[in-house]
Amino acid sequence: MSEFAAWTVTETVAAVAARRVSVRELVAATLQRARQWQPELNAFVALFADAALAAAARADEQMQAGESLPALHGVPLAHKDLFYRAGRASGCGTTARRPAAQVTSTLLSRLDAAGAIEVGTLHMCEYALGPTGHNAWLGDCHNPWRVEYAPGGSSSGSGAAVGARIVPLSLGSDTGGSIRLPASLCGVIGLKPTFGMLSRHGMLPLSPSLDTPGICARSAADIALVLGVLAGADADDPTTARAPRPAIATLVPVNDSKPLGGLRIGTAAGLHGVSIDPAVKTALDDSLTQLSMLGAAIVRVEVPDLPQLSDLSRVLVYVEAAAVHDEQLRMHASGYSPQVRIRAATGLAIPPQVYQRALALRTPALREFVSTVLAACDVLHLPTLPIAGPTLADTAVGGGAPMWQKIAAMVPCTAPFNYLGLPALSMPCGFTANGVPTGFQLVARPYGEATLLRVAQAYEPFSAPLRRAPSPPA
Amino acid sequence: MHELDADTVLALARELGHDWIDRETATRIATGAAAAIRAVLEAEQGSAVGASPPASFIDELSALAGGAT
Repeated sequence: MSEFAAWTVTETVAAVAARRVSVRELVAATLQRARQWQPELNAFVALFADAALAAAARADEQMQAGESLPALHGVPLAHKDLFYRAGRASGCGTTARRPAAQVTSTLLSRLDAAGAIEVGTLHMCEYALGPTGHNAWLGDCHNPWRVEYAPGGSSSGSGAAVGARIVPLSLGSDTGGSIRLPASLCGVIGLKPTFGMLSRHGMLPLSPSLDTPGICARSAADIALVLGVLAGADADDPTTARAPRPAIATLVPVNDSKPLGGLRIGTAAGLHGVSIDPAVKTALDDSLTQLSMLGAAIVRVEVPDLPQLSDLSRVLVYVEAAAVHDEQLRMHASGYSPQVRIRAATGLAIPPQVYQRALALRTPALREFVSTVLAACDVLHLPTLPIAGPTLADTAVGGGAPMWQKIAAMVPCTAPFNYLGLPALSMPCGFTANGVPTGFQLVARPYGEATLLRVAQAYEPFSAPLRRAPSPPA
Repeated sequence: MHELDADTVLALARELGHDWIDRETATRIATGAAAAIRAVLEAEQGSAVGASPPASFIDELSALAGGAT
């Protein structure tokens, strides 16, 4: 593995500014790693080698000209293939012919303005409908730690490409866990920000009440830096109108031995029937011990019925996905795989009044969660995935009832926080017996991202999946 | 709340122009949708705090915002 591959965004920015590496060298090495891993991972949908190398040459010229450099000058990145760029057709997890986008997503525009270089687009589940990384059209994405295992989805390539150290950071989207699941399984940090913090303008919709763009990375400081670039109101997405601009553009390393002093971390007294794999439980318990040693007070808290919140979230996904896909399903149903078109059409059979009730329960549920759980603690700690990472074969189409049980067991701890709109972060904390990473999830009050990142940064040195890299293919 | 079975879904699909939905697909859709409907009814029965208009959700997030801890 090249030295560059181990660099975080923050380290890359510093190396470029200090002229220890040219942007062209960085981009060429990133492209080389992407090609090296592609036969094993299938993490990329497309590589924009010529455009990325040309952008790198321009970035190096700006350096030589002594121009002032933006925050992400020359950092090679890649993102889930649902962020539109004007003139380019985003595949959105299909091979169906899609029209070229008329607009560039606000998030891509902000990364462009900050000097980042887009080297390619990343694998995703078909229309973002699926938690595993399977894709009937593109082929499956694979886990960089063990390729026969699922990388998680639907931002499968975002987790796999960062986990494999191909790029230091990627954008994804999260409607029920689609950033946090691949982050956990691929051994990286995944942040789903507060609903409304980041613009969805120019991003494929799945369920507009829940869809949240977010970030996969290997460092909390990187997420803070990029969140500072991305956040802020966007006139093209009214949900961002009230979002405060986060004061977290830089996360300063802490040399305190008790960096979490004064912070209360809540651990759920019970998860309402969610079964936790013993190896996952051990890793979670160990992480709580470590967080306590870092100064946090661990408190037991009662949490509401997470499976019920997950069910309510699913009602919104079903109905809104049916509305989003209605015309395309009527005209071109054969352009969907059988599993996905059933998921996209289930909402047709849910009466509007049921949907309205699921929406109407949302605000009171949020108010209750904040006034009880997040009054008793500053951050809630719980599993991201309560099960050990499944194989791709165990979760493949045609697996019958056991397959559906495995898939259903993946989301009960993530989907509730889309329904509640709360910020949630998945932090890698170890490996299960199968050699696949596992992680814990942290949840904070609305717009409490800085608190989540503070905990993540303190825990980073103790995260085994962040400390070592998966072996690249020969 | 009306009964939801494959026949109901098939009739609805025809009405909405989703002619691609066959009986097997309708059965799967009916199963998923019935479970979703049941979940909402159970959540309503178990809710001690009542419902409120969905338009207030973003406002509520802002009102409940917490700073760095």
